[in-house]
Amino acid sequence: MVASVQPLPSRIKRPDVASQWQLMWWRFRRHHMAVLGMAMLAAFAFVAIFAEFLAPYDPAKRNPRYLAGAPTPVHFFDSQGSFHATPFVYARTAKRDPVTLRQVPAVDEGRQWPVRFFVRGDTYSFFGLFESDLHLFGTSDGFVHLFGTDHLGRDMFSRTMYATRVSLSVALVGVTVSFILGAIIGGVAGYFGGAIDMFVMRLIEFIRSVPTLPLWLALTAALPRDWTSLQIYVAVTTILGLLGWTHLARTVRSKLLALREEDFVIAAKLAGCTDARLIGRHLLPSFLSYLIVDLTISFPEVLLAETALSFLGLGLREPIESWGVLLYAAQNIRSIAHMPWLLIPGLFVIVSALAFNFVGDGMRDAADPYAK
Amino acid sequence: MTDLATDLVAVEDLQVHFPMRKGAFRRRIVANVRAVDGVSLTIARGETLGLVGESGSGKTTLGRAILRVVEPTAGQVRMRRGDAMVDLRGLDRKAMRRMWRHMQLIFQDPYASLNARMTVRDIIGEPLLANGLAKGSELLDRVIDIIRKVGLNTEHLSRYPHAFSGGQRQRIAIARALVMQPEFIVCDEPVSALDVSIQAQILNLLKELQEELGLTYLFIAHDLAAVSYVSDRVAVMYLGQIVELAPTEQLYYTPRHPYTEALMSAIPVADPEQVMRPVLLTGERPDPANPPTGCRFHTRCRYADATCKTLMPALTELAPGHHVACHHAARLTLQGAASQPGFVADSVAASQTA
Repeated sequence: MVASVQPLPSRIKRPDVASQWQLMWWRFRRHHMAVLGMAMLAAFAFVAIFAEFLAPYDPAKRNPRYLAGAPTPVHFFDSQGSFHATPFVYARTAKRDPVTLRQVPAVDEGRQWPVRFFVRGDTYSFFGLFESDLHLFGTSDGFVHLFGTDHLGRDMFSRTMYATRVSLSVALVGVTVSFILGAIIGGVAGYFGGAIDMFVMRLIEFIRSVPTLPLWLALTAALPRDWTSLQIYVAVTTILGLLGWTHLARTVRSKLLALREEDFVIAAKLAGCTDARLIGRHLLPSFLSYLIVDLTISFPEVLLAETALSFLGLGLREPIESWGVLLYAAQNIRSIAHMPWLLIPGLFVIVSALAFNFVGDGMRDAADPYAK
Repeated sequence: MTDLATDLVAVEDLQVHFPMRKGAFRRRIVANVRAVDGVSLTIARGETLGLVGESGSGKTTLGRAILRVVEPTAGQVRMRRGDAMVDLRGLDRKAMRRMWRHMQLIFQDPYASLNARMTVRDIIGEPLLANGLAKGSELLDRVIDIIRKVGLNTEHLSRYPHAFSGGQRQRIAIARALVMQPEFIVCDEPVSALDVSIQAQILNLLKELQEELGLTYLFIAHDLAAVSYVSDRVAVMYLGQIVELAPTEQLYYTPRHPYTEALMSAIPVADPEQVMRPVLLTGERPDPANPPTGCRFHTRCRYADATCKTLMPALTELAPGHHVACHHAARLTLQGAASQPGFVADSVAASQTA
């Protein structure tokens, strides 16, 4: 005879039949900042994936008519206060400053450049899959620079979109490398124990005792000067990953050591579980949630490491753009005084780091739904 | 009662030592914690052997070493399979896994012994699945069968452990231990984590299941009343050794070892008027890493003399079935639980009059 278990309407909460992940999700949802952070991360991921489409211009393309130009605000109301259904930016004309004789762009309130959605612009290749020239927004005549331009006239908004992809991918790859290394090394140490455990733990202590910034600097400075920026990108990512595994390895090891002695694991062993089944069915599910939390929290670390390195000129280099590379341009006081909009990528760094921390916080609270 | 032909489990000179290591790199062994130090006993088919002793006396370690969940350092554990006694320490991992179909463990803490991430159905069905004994609807039938036996119903199957009370969780743990139809169960303080009102239910359940399924129990506890209620014989452990082993009523009413006397005098009486006069032991329990010479108990024994300090007494049979490890057992007259009016362990009283 088979028991008939009646399915309930899914909207009704049944904690008694809720799985671990359901309980975790319910608890996570109560953490509003974490949900907000999750939404922001989703937005960042969207930007990273669809950078070409979201950016109105090719990031390397120069606009000689608008060097070091301030952000061009988008208006719905003109200076007379009348409403326009199509948003627009005021046209800019080049004027020469009578004192310094520098070319200065001036706002021409007489002319308007309408901003339209889904316009054709610079062609791009979307991950090498297909070519397109469709952009989310742009102008048919004139130009629109939401975040202004740098001293070469490149659109900072487009560059920031592309930089989001690079920065997040560096962090993602770096965290993935650390995760794999940490899980394997920590797992081996915790599972076998003894001399291996001893060696691994001393190694971790040694790596963690070396100040991180000088270590990164030394390692990235050791990269050959003649490498292309793509090679440097891969190398920097790998270095960050290779140094970031220690924390996770420790977590995995300690969890494993603690879990091995748990009654339910001994019960599973007595139930005849093989090692593989024991690890797959009992050990791993019990600390997977902690690993995910650890992963989320280590994200901003890698992100900030890459930004710091690039800012110091030792990480990624142009033409590859990351938030750090963009901020590198904002290093001197002259740039910041004249072009404060160059600091906008810094906001992205702050917001993403905060978002990751919020999500990590929420996940940590939700990670063990059985804790009392 | 300890007929060789009916013995299900035989333990001989079992030792479990936990090494204590020191040093940052070389990790030398500085001492051994002698959790179990030379224990011999037999458990007959169908009987319940109680095992009592204070915290840290090695009860739990002995129970787990018999199941080989904790690896014994020396000695022998044999389990009857058919006509032969199988030496468990000679089995490899795979053979041991098969052996565990016949011997199972019920844990003290039902909050720690169930995987919170699995439904009751998966928890109870796992032994069958992992051993390839049943699957699909046959597995479900067997799970439903056993869950009814322990007093739960099919409605509970799709729930997770966090939805249950302590007593219900212990029923789930019992169902998991019994689903493979084992012969021998080590009950490691199965009721001490439960409310007193629930304890009786679980004890009765264990007794009913024993009669119905012909189970053999090693019942570990520190609650002397609970042990007397379920046990046919009781062994008293002190510092890794058995000091006395006798049929329940003999042990409770006519203890022959000074330590047992002290234990029995400490049984609380359910009468507020009754003045308790327990035999108070002086001093602390010695460190099992550095046990005293001679009789382990001599540091706290009020009858100890020079012999006790140098010579370790062997467990000898004073009366039929009554084993004591004390040099002076023959000449001492000790008080049992019966000398305390008000000690009412029904089963003990009943078996006395019968």
